[in-house]
Amino acid sequence: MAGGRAAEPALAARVLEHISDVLLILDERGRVAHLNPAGEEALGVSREAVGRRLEEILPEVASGRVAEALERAARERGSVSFELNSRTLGGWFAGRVYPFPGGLALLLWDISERKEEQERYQRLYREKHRIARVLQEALLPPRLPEVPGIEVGGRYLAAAEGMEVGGDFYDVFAIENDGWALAIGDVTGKGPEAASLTSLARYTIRTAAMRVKRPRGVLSFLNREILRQTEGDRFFTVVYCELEPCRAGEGAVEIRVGCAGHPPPMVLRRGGEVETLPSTGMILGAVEEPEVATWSGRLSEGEAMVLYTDGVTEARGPGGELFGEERLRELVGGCAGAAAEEVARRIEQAVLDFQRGEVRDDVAVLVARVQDASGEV
Amino acid sequence: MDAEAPSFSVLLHTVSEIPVVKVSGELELLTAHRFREALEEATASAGDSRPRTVVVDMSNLEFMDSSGVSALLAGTRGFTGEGGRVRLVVRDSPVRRTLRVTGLDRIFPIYPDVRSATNGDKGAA
Repeated sequence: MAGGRAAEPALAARVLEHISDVLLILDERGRVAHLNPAGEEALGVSREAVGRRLEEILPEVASGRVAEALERAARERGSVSFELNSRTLGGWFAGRVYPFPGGLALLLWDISERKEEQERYQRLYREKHRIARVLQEALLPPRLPEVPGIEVGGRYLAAAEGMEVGGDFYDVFAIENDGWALAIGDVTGKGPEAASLTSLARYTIRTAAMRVKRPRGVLSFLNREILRQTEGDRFFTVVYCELEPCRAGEGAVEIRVGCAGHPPPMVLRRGGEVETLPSTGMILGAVEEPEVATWSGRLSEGEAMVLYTDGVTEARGPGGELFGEERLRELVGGCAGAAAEEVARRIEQAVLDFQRGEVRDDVAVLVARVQDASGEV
Repeated sequence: MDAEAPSFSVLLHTVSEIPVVKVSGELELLTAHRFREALEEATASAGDSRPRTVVVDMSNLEFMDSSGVSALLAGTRGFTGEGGRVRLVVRDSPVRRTLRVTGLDRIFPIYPDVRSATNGDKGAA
């Protein structure tokens, strides 16, 4: 079998002469000992390359990743991989250095197609991200309006690094001659369908607020419109709230709240007591005449109304435990005296911390607080 | 992606000739479509001898978000619209709270176990 064994190296050498990858063998002094035909073609050299230093025929190796790879392979006596965008080779190549007793073998192969694919994918990814962001921004007020005597703060946190348009929204707007309205909602689902329903909901609420007034009427109107304008398989929960300043000098605001299947808003009193709506009504889009839970009351100076979506209360920690209403209630109770924007920020931060920064569902928070008489916040 | 997906399963079986959809684990955006498909299959297979009934066994469901709520409503809508009955089996859990907040516990009757749900004992827990 001696003959067979002797034939093997010759066979291997023949194969290496025919592969389309570049094979370059360097001696111990870093000079080219051998270059296969594919290498001669790729580097634009012929036999005269043998005996020259590698950087003479491939200047890019003088420094950077290839130099490092060669040095490391020789030092650690193990193979080292790298990628190289080479002008000499005319594009992206992947390479691997293999040390052997007496030198180094360098194998290079063309990866320009894979690189192009990657770049195309990255472009698409950036574009998808941009579309989601633009749509999302269109679903939230670009900036909250200045409401006389009331501070308003809003926060929105998109799940999954904002790759999809989320289904949460909020809005703050003036009702003609009749105070201000706040709304927060959660449309089920994600992506373009969620975006279109969110947009429909937001503008229908604005229309209803002008035409029918009072939370029960507004939410019933909204329910009818959704049933009429969708296939009957779109659902969402919402809290709608009207704020009407009391007579001048009283410094207080009348509030009227309607809740349709949404986590109950919280009222933060001056001393830090927190009140919650006793009932929450029914999700919209499910039945013709949904129950709407209503509540009306008064906010005095420094008191606040906190609206949020279930991305807050249903946030889960690493062990699966829920953030929950109780935790939120405690957090809100500790915010007495803080400005509306600060209250919203603290809730957002607490939810982020609770989930160790990994947001699984969208989070929206909207806070309205009656300013202190002195004007300080 | 799959390795990180939370546990979820949905099974369709029959108790006293009534289709029972047993949903377990975590019902959320990634799994809601499977729940909805099972509901559609169950409502389609409900016999029409007596008032058609489907039971949704959520007693082993640990978590349900708004996608689950949506799937429950959308997957049963046609059936209830034609007079079919959907009964839920729920134990005290975050799921119970979600059903209360969204008002679904006033749309669907709730039972403490599958047997009372299939019998239609006015068990509403």
